[in-house]
Amino acid sequence: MTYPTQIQPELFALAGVFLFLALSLLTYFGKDRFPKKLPYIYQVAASFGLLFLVVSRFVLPELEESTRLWYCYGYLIAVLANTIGTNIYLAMPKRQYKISRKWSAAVTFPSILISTYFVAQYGLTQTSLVPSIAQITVIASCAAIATCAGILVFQRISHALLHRVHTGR
Amino acid sequence: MNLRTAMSTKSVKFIILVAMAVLIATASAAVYYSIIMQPSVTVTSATISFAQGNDWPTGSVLGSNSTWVSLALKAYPNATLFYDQPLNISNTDTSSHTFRLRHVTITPITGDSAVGNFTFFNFVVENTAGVAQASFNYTTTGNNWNTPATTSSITLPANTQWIIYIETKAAAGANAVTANLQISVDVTQ
Repeated sequence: MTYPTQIQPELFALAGVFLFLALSLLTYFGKDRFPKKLPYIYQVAASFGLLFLVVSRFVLPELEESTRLWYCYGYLIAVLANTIGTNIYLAMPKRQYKISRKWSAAVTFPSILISTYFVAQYGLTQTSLVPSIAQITVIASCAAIATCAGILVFQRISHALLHRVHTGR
Repeated sequence: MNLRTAMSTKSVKFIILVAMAVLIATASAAVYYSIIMQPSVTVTSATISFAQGNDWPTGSVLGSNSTWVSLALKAYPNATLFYDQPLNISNTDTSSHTFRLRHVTITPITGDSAVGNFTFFNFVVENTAGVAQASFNYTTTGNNWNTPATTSSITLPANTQWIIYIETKAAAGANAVTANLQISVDVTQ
């Protein structure tokens, strides 16, 4: 018996669900730093991901792969935007730079890295197909996520350097 | 402590949150697993197929995609008729495959008085050097058929074409009757 090895677009939705659930629990622990209802909002968002998976599997299984890719990928982008959003929320309105940096290193950067890996793997399995708009978008988005990750790493390094300059160490 | 107060305690809220997270995560993983485990079927050309031989009998039909063949064979009374290379069996794959010959049906059915008009129909699988690899012989005893047992698996090497050699014979003084044989070639992929 052979099993299909190609990555399905629903993997993005699944990754999104796990990230939303992780965000939910993390924001629950940091209650005093985040709005009280945020963990529950993220739980609802994760439920939407489950809904996408159910739709793909049971309601509209005849959907084209490109269509499934669009909404699953959109969902992953939404969860990454939320991860970055919480990072910015900690840094800007709350002015908790230390926690923001830790959040960036422990949550935002790994999330982006894992998502980039999944997107890159999906892009690799699609190389045999004729390039389509969806495929080009996937590659472009992959590049965008990688750039974003690079910016975050740069931000972290520059913060550390500036701190050293200010303290003279 | 009333229910509202109990529900608002931190530990209960946390347990509910974790329970919901576990539930959603498990359900999502299960649904994704069911998506990737769906069987997929791809249409490809058959790796083992039939091909017309140099001694292709007139009136025979090679089916579309060469996956079936209908041979129009003759049998002479009291004389053996040889078809040296009526049909070829071809492996177009880059790896070897095994196949076997299996009896499916024959008419007239055994016990019918028409059966006695035939003596034998012998199908022999030969390799490219002409060496017999398997024999599939139909004989008669009175009005009964002696149908052959399914052959053992025969390995057809990659990119090779073998011959199916046929010999037929009808009984002396046989009437002009027709026998229809259906033989299956079972291929292991």
